[in-house]
Amino acid sequence: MSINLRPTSLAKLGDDRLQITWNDGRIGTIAWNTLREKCPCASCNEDRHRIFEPIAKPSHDGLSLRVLQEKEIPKHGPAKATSVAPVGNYAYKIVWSDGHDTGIFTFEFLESLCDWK
Amino acid sequence: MNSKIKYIVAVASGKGGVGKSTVAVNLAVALAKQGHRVGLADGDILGPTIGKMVGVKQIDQRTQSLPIEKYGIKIMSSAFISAPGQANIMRGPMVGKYVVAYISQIPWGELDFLIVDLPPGTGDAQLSLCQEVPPTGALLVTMPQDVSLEIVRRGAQMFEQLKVPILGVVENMSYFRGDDGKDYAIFGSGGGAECAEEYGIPLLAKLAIVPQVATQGDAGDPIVHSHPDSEVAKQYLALATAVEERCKGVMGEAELPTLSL
Repeated sequence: MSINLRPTSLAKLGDDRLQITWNDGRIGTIAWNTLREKCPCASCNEDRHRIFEPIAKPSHDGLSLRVLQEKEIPKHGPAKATSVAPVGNYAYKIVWSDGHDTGIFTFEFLESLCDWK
Repeated sequence: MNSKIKYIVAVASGKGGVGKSTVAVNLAVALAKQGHRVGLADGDILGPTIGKMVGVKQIDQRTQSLPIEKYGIKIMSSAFISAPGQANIMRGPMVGKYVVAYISQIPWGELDFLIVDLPPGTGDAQLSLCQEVPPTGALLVTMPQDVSLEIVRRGAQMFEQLKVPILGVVENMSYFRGDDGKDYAIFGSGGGAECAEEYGIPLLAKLAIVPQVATQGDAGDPIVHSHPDSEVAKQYLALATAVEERCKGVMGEAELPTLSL
């Protein structure tokens, strides 16, 4: 059973990267933009398959909030991460400044996104 | 989540009717007999059976507080807050919330062990527990026959995916010892060992089929309490020791870091 790989510390690296130190000693970094882009939650996954429309159709409650498409995400923001907190024993949840917080990033997924020095 | 609780042990199975609740109650009483401070949360929100097994029905919450105390353990169950025979009808996400609330919102005080008796399956109750609590480890209850194992495997896979350590397998209703002194494998044999081997996890107990286990359960007086010298009670005490050992073994992982920006 592979319950071994897990982060031992998290840090903010400059303005645009998350740095993760793993318990095997490796240190990897991920751009916040990448994390937002690759958000694995159901609504983001659905949006990825949707045809790009410049103006979102209003939803039933009159709001037209939706997840940004890849090309809509500027290099620095607007959505910034506000917290990275563990979910159970297997994943992290990232809360973004625009309120998006449904993505659960498993350790394996984070590891696969890491750039290694 | 609750630093006053040392170990949280989920008693689970992919399948119903293998004796999860019986194992949970008797394990809890056995741990208490060994001097531990023990809580028992009935995570089966829709079909609570713990109340019946400890002989407590709906309580008057104006005069009695939760958790209730009996047989040396603290207990919380939906049965204590619903009228006898009343069905609890709710959707999955609510079930998940109740399970988490029974752990985090009940004034357990300081505990060495909190045993959580989970409903069968791999759904909301299990996911909420593993995401929001999470337990120290899970105990998988199974029976010897193949069909039961097939389903316990799913439970094992779930805990593996959620990175909740599996403490071990408990093979319930393993054998029946006749008056002739011979052991009869009523439901076949070797299933628990097979499952344990497949996942590289220890087989912590093979519990005998003893009619009194069921009758004592129905009478609301767990066998470990009512017949402490019986063979099966001794098996439960051995299981309690093994669970404690395994909990100590799987602990030690440092808490996961959090980052606020």
